[in-house]
Amino acid sequence: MSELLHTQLERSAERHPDRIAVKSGASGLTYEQLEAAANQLAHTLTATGTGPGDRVGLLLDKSLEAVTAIYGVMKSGAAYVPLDPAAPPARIAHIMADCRLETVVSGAKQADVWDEVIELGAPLSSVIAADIDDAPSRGRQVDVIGRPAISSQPTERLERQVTPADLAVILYTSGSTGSPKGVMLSHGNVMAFAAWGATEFELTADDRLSQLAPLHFDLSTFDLFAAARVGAAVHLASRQTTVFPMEIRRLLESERITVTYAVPSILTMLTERTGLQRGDLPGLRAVLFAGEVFPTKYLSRLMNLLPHAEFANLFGPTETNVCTFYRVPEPPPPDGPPVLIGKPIAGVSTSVVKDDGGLAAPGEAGELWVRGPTVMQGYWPQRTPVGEDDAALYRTGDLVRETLSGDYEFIGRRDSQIKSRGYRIELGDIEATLLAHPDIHECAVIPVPDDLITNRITAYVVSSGGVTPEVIAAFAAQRLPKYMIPEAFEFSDALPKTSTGKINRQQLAAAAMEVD
Amino acid sequence: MTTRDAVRSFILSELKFSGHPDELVDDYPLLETEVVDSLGIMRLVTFLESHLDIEIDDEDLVPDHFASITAIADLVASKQS
Repeated sequence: MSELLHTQLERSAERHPDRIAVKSGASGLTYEQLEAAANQLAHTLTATGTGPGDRVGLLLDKSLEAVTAIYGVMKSGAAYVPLDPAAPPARIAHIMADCRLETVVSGAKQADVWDEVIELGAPLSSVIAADIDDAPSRGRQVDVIGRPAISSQPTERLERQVTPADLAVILYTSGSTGSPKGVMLSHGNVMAFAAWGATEFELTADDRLSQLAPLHFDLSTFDLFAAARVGAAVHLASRQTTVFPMEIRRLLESERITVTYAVPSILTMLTERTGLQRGDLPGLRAVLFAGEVFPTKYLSRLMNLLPHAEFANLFGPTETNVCTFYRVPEPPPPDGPPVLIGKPIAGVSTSVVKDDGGLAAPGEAGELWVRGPTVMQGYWPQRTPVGEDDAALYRTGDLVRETLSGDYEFIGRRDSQIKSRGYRIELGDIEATLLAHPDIHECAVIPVPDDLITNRITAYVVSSGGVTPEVIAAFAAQRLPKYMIPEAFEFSDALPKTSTGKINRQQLAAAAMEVD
Repeated sequence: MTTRDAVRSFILSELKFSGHPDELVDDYPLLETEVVDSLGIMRLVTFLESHLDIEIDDEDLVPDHFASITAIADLVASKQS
């Protein structure tokens, strides 16, 4: 039988039943315990009628329960859809309506959100909450299935027909039209990435991986599934931990983390604000980063502080998991260009295509096209048609150039997509949201380069009725996640235009840099 | 302006506080609500150091010191004394 993300867990539970699978603070679950809890959840879901082809939302903070839920959902045959509990209810409701989530695994802390998203149009009808004991359904619009019902289910595996082509997870990312898009990843897609990572970085059951990224972020799949593949331990960092550099360092130290995968802004904070000395964190053997450009001055400093660790730049949009990677051989010059994005990972083929459709020669810039087992199935609900070789193609929109060493160099984006704190943001998504405000007539959202977080966002606005930055920020906060709300607002009577009548973004960008 | 007012005004204007300003009382939980997030913390520290003439050690960058406006004001007071 072909391997699936949850059958990896089953195999590790047989081989390493007593090893720690996942830890959160002082509590943890062994592989045997995680397997049993996930099976109970899968039986619970099956009893509600959930099965292959369905989707189940995850509306809870990162926790042992959340990891159990991920496996429980996949074991039931369904795909999990991680929802950010801190996102505005309108955005959660939009995603739930978009992929028709009738069931979510959640917790008592999120109880207020359940009714709120229903009011906003989500088709939610049942909630599974392992931290609720009584039956609080009365007065609620949803059926709540609590701990007693879950723990009465058998801990044995249930038989489900799931194939590697079936969806494992749908990750919602910023879309250019003002609505998030659901990237559909199959078991095979995520497995191709996790299996590559486990092999490339020689993971074993003795490794301890940190889990720093939120579960709705594509970085999280590596930690969870590469670790489960080999029976290694995953140590969850709470959202609060990732806010405080010292807390991140403490997690790495106290849990003797051997492999960490993070966005550069977190690693920069670790470098700059934790008093790290050369040779500290001696057990940390691999530092992997992705999601945004790592400013070379910080990368160089961190590599000098951790001479015992290998560093690798993992590259790829959510749609392809990771498609290329580059082992950084030595600390780069602090004032040098960003490190390369490297070569394709095993099984993936890439090409660089020029505007005229021809292949770019080495040294020439073109768009990176990716084909292979890590490429998504499509955006919900539309599966991408595949070619004769059964591998889907994805045009990344990223401009790259092949260097003499055969490694790719990242040049920039073809469109108006930017990165901030590792999150990818379509500027059009923000503009469409702001333009929905009745008093905003014209707007342009401009990225301002920022050392620590790649980009900050300034919105140029033409408005009437005396709207203030606070009013717009509050309006945006009801519709967008926090990292997409502009840091600054500039008001004017009109936006500058180019000769063709388009908003002159270059002029605004220059102005934004000056204000900065 | 007291330290609390200065911090409150910084949070309102710079950290995208999405509620009504009156909600941002001294004991409003800043971390659970993610008013202070990973970017916010660095901007807040820069603000405190440059406007209130104190230096915040790496060891002081812990949740207890940033849980509320009161906690931040206490941290500032301990640095000023």
